[in-house]
Amino acid sequence: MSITSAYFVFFLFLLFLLFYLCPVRHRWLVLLAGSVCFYLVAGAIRFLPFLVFTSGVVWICARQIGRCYEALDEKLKAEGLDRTAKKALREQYRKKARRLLCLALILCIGLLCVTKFTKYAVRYLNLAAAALCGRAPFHAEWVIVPLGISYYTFSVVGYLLDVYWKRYSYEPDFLRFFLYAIYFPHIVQGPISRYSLLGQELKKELRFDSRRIAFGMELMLWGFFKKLVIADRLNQFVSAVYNGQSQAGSIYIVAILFDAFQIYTDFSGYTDIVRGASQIFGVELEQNFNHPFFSKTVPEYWRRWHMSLGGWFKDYVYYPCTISHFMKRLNKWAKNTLSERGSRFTAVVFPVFVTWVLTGLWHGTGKTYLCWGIYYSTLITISAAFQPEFEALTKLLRIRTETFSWQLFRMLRTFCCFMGGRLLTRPGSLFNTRRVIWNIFHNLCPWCLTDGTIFQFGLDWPQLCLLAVSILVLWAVSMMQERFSVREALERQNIVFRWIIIFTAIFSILIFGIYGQGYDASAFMYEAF
Amino acid sequence: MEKVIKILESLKSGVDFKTAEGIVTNKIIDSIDIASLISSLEDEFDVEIGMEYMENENFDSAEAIWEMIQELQDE
Repeated sequence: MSITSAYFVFFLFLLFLLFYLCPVRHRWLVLLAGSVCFYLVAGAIRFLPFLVFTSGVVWICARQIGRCYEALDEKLKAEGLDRTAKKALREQYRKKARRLLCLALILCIGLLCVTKFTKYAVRYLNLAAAALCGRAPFHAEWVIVPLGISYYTFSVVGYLLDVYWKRYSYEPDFLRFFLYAIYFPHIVQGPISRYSLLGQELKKELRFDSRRIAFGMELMLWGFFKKLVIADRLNQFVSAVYNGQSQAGSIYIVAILFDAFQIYTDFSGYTDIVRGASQIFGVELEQNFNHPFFSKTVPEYWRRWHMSLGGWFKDYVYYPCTISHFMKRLNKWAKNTLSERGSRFTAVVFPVFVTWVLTGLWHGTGKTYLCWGIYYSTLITISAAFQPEFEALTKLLRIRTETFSWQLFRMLRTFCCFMGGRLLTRPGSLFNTRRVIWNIFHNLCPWCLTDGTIFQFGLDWPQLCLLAVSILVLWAVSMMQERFSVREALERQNIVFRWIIIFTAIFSILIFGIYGQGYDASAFMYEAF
Repeated sequence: MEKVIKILESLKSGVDFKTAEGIVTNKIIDSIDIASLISSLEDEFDVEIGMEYMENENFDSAEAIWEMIQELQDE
C-alpha cells in the first residue's frame, strides 16, 4: 500500500473514524493497531519479526541501562563515600551499562548490515570464486530487506544511545515504545524521529482539533502535488534518459537538472504527506526539509535536506567521533607538531570523513555511494579548512557579499554541488557516470534541445510546459514558506478564496497527477534505503 | 569565563560572545566549530567532555559553556 494510493486514503479515513470514536486515553492503542495493520499491508507479515526483534532488544537493553543508573544513584546517595570511591562506583556501573549498549548495538546494527550488505558481499564472493574455481557457489536469495529497516533501526538506536548518555529516562512500557518504532507515518521512509520528540507526542492527550486536522489535510495535498504532479512527471523523463542508450550531452544536462528536482519533490512530497497524515491524529512529526535549494553553502544544504538523517549522524556519529579517545590523541599530537591551522584541520577531517562515508553507505552499498560519501566529506572539509582563504579572495575581488547577485551565485553554486553528488549515484554505476560526463564534454549536441529529440523521453511539449508551471508554483510557495506559514495565511482569507485554492489543488492533482496501474503512483525514491 | 570567550573569539571573529545567546541554535557556530571548541576547552581546563554533555543547550552561550566546565571540574 503506497501512501499515494487510493487504499491509503481509505485506510486513513477508517483509522480517523476509529481514532476519534475511541476514548482519548485509549487512542494511542488505535494508532498502534492501525500502524501494525499498515505495516503488514505495506510490507509483508514476514517483515514484522525483524521489527519486533530490533525494538524488543533495544527496549530491554535501554531498560536495563536505565535501571543500572538508578541503582548507581541510590548507592551514590549513601553517606561516607569519598570522591575516589564515587568515581570507582561510577566506572563500575558505567562498564555494566556499556556492555548492554554494545550487545544491543551489535544485534541491531548487525541485523541491519546483514540485510543490506549480504547481497553485495555475495556478488563479490561469487566473482572471486568464479575466478578461482569457475563456479559461483554462494546464494543471497534468502536475504530479505524488511520495509523501513534503516529508518526504524536508526530511530530506536538513537533512543538507546540517549538513554545511555542519560539524556532522558527509559520507557517502561514496551507497547508505548513499539508504537514509537512502528508509527505508520514514519516507518517506511522517515523522518527518523527522536524519542524525546515523537515518544512524547504520542504520550500526550490526542484530542480532536478541527484546525489542526484541516492543516494536516492541506499539507497532505501539497505533498501529493509535489509527488504526483512534479516528481512522477520528471521521473518519466529522467528514467527514460538513464535507462536508455547513450544520449547527447545536452539531454544529460537536462536529465541531471530534472533529477535534482525529482528527488527533492519526491522525498519532500512524501514527508509532507506523512507529516500531514500525522497531524490529523494530533501527532507532530519532525520537519525533514527546509527548502534546501535556497542554501548558500554545502554544510547549510545538509542542514536543510533530510534533516532528520543529518541530525542523527551529527549527534550519534560525528560528535562521538569528535570526542573519541583516538581523536583526542590525534588532536594533541596535531597541536604539538602542526600549526594552529593544521591542528584545526585535523580536528575536522577525520570525523567528517567517517560521518559522510557512513552516510553514503546508509544510502546504498555500492561503490557509487562510497564515492558519494567521499565527495561530500571532501567538499565539507574544504569549505571548513579554507574558509579564511575564501574570505580573503572575496575581499581581494571586491565582491559585495550583501548583494542579491552574490547570494544567488552562492545558491547556484551549492545547487551545482548537489547535482554533482547526484551524478555519482543516479546513473547507476560509476561507468555510467563517466559516460554521462564524457558525453557532456565530447558530444554536447545543443540542437538536440530544439530539434525535437528532447520530446522522445516521455514528455511532450504540453507536458514540459505543465512541468515548468508546476515548478514555478513550487518555487513561489517555497518563497512564501521561507517568510511565513502559508497555511495560516490561507486560514485568514475569506472562505470562498480558501476553497478555490483547495479545490484547485485537488483537481490539479487528480487531472495532472501521474498515475500507474490501479491509481498507484510509482514507488518513492527513498523507500529503497 | 574570560578564557571561554577568548576561545570562542578565536573560532569566529566579529561576534560579541559576552552577550551572544543561542550561538549553536542560531548557527553562529556549527558542528565543525564545536569539534575545535571541545578540543580547546579540554586542553585549557583539563576536563573531559563526555557525550552526555553534547547538547545544544550546553554550548549555546559563553555562560552555558562556563557552567558546563564548572560542573565537569566539580565531578
